[in-house]
Amino acid sequence: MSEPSTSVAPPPAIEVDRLTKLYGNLTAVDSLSFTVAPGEVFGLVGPNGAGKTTTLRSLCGIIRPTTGSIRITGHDIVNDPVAAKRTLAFIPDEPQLFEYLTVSEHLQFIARIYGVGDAPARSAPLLAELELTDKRDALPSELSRGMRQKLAIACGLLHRPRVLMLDEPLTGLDPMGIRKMKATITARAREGTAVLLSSHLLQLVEELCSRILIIQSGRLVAIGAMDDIIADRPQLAGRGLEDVFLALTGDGDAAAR
Amino acid sequence: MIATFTWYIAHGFRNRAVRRIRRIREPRYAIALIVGVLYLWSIFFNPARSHNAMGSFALNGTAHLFYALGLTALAASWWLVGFEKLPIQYTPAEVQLLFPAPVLRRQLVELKILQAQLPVLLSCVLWLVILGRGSGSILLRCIALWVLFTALYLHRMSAWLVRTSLAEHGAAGARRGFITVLVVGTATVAAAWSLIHGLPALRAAFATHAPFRILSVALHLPVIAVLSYPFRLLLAPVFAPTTTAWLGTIWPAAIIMLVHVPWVLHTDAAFEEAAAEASARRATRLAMIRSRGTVVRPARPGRTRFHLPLGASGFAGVAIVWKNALALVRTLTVQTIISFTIAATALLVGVFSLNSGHDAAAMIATGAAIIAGVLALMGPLWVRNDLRLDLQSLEFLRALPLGGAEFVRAEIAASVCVITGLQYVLLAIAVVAASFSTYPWFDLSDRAALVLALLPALPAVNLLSVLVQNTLALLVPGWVQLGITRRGGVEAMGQGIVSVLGSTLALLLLLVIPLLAGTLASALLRFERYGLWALLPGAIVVAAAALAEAWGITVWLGRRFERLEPAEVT
Repeated sequence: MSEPSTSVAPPPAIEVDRLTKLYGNLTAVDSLSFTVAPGEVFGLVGPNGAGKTTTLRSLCGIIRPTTGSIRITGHDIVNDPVAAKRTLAFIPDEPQLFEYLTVSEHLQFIARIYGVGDAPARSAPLLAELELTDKRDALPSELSRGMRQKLAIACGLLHRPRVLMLDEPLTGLDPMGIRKMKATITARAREGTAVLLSSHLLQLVEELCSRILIIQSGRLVAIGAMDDIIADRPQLAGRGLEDVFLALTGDGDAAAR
Repeated sequence: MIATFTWYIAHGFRNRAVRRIRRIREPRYAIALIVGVLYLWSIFFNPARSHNAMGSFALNGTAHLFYALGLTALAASWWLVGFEKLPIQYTPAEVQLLFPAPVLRRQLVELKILQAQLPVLLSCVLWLVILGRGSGSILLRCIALWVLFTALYLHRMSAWLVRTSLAEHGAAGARRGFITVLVVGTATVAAAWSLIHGLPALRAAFATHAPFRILSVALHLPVIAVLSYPFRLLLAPVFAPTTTAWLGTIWPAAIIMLVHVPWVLHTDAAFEEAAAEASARRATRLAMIRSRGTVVRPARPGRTRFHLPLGASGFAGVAIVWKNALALVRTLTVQTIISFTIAATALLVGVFSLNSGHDAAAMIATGAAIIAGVLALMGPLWVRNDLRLDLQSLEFLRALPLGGAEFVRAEIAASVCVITGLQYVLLAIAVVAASFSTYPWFDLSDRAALVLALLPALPAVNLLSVLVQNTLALLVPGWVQLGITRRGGVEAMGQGIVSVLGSTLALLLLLVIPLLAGTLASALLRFERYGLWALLPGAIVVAAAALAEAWGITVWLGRRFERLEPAEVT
């Protein structure tokens, strides 16, 4: 008989409770609830228009939920947005950069906004890690698509967020960039950062994520580790995430193929 | 293929028109459309305005000379200077779908000629309104204008294609386009020779102080007369007073237009690469405008960019001011600086001509003070490095850990700092210039009092004015120009008029309390006792009251910012 554990589970880094977002009569997200623990890489998948981006935008305070609550590292994103945002980083699929600031000025700007006192010491290795050192004086318009994505990632990582939200993070990256990005995500998770990863690249999600949330039409379809999801659906035994995804989101014929 | 292109153009036009008509269902567009139509009516059709005077000027013989010389100069610039914007612009979709398609180069040119017909027809309508009915038939004048604008469009395209061919083939291209190169080269040399030899006649005409006499002399210089002859032929039917005169002048104009068609269609210039590059640049520019609301040109190699220091710690709002200051400097174009310099010089010249008895230092002091005053009125409309620039980046900015009110204040401060900084520089110029002037200004004490009173008063007025503009941007983003993308159409013009009227009214309302409080404070100190020094406490009270108003309003605006949906500003 094993002894009861005395260790207390850390509070979730992300707590979403019955999140609903309406646009007029359209329900983009419908009563979605989940949690992400520190150090966990959590995958968010769903077909186009499922509500993934709306969920991510709600989680990082870009849009306000219609109902429900979101807590980031214990701070309510609606009632205490500044404290919540200080601990998170959101890296969208389309890099959001200021065309009139250079690479290093982007990092200066972010450092001041997030109050990163040792920004110069952090910037140099970050730029080196993302192969942006030679481009530190370049404007975004002088960067390739992949470089712009790397700059957006650098901006997100500079203040060492406790919650990292990534929307299609590999878009535009070359094979080496993809490998480094995967390593970065894994390393950050190992350091205790909660990572929420939204992607259509199911292999990436399967490779990196310990738990997965599948949504469709704004509603939760399945949540949990791959094994748990499959355990609840014996007919999917032995299948990969792609087949599971297709089966659960309604394209059963494709799954059968 | 022409039928396919016509279908493509017609359906594109129909879909755009349907979208605009649907948009009018929204009250903001409907109201704006009504305002825009009323404005245009008041400009062009209102019988109370003497638009006949404009029409009669536009149609008289002097105007004919003016247009002919203008068109000659324009065409010369196409051949000699080149083009900042390509005459043949393809959309990215056209480049992607048509360039690899089995479509001849000639057919790609035909597409552009067909597409040009809509703007040509709109230009015809606009010029019909400007010229008025006159004594001839509207239909005949419309046809004459169509021939004129189509010929100009084709000539512009020809010039570009010839230049492209020369650039592409070098000496071989020059040999192939020998006749064109010879004609243009000879014409250029002959025109220069003619102008040099005609200088005495031009000087004599200049001495008469009759501007149109100078134009007439210039046009009658031998070579200029020959070069401008085709343009005078093209203009002749537009100015024809009777149907008989029109019939006598339309056919040479039509021949000029028709001669251009085979010239353009049989070009061997491989323009696709240049057009594709231009299309890519256009797409990048549009993407920049859509994503950040601005366009920054890359630095030339070897040139360093303007930098501003920013500490890593401290008040976070400073980063927004810093960012917007860099945006302003880096998006400042040479054209803007030249325009501002020309406007300032024109103002100084005007001040000089009105006060010829005063010394130069006095004029500079007056000019600088006037420009500082103009900036107080117009600065908030010109300097837009605040929410009006940044709201298009709402998604990025909303993810930053800044409170709504703090963010709004930082954005407003960015524009206020720039406008006030410029005003302080102008004020310093005025003070220094006045000290060198022999004009009996106020004594030193009064001058000091005025300047010290302006130091808090100017930023206070700027603050309220910029606050009003930003309030409009947050409350009714659909009515305000966000970023640098200018919207077209009558309803956009109507929106502009309504927002200017609304912002002026709001500014006046906001100024009431500070001005009353300031006047009261100054009055308490009694002018008769302290003179202009009584203005100083008044100005400080104005600034304090304005600051208090702005503080309260930004608390409210901050909440609005936190609730603003990104979809509202796109």
